[in-house]
Amino acid sequence: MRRIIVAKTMEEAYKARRDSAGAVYLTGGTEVLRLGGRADAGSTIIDISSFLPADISLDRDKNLVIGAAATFQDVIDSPLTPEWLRKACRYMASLSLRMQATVGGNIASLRDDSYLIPTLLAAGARLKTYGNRGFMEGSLQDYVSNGGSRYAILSVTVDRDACVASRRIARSSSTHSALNIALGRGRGFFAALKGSGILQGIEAINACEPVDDLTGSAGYKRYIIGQCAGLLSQEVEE
Amino acid sequence: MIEFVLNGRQVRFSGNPLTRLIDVLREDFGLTGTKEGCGEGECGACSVLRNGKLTTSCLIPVGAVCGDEIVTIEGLRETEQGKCLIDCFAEAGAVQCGFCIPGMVMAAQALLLCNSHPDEDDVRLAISGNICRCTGYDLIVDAIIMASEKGAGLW
Repeated sequence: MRRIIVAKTMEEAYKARRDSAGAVYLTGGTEVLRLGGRADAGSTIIDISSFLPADISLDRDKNLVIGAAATFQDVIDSPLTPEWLRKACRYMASLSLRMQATVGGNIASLRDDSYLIPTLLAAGARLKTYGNRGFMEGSLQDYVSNGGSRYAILSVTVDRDACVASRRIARSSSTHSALNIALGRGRGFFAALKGSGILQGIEAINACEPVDDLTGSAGYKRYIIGQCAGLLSQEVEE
Repeated sequence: MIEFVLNGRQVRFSGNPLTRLIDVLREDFGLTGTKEGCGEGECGACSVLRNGKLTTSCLIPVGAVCGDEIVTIEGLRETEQGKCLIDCFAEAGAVQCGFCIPGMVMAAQALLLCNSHPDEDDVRLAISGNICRCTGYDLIVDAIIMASEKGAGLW
């Protein structure tokens, strides 16, 4: 049965998701029904937009804390946002999409053409989530390694002073990317490679066998990985 | 039952709440001015205003707009603002095949609602989510700036 549950609290949302196989959370709404999105014909959608935090602030250690419901445009507009993160948000070329798409949603959808995940991984981002043990904190790296989770993302914390460089390669600014790759100083390379998923570390990227698809051939993808890796290394060294 | 305000009128939809808003607008309410281009939210042809903000209706499940106010090109064209925009698009020669124009007009309206005197950069940013495959962007930009000048006081 297809249905939408408009949750009023995180507890209510989590319970609904736990009890509904294939359920997904909805906030901005740009990923749920999109081609390659996670909602299937039997899904329940749980609207969590009414209570999810959307503010962008600094914590006691001067790290940037982004509410999961903050939109890409909110992040771009915030004076607290470092330029490397603003750049990643601008990879979403459409203003109207940027005003809808949320940071939490882009992470949770774990797409192989993710706009933000490589950059956030390269910055060592941490997540605050809500799950069966209540509120929890953990690294984005663990979240991705575990293939996401049924936990709701509440906020993302990043070090504003992180040194991160990134490149997104697509046939046009508005299409799915073939490659989105980022390098963080002291953290290494992270990539979203179309058809292959989220890859963490240069070993994983080198070991990956790219696939031919509409974004480019396997050979092309191998080529742009090499080129981008070289450019990013130079950029981070400088 | 999903209730929302559509072009100033309270409406109800009782079907599948995961139906895309664009499908409900076109098929259930007959508002075919809203076009489907890419079905991915990238081309902007399906743009409508949701609570005054530009939204791609091909991505939004209708269940998510419960209680919201939706304005489509049909609703906008009945207003003085809409008439001004449509006249200026015609006068500037901004319409070629016309498929993207409803979305472009909605994007222009969203811009003018928050900035009644936009410059060219503002306009280009505002329509950055709307793709014209006839590539007639310059004339569309001219039309929106013309509307902001001719329609001074409307926004």
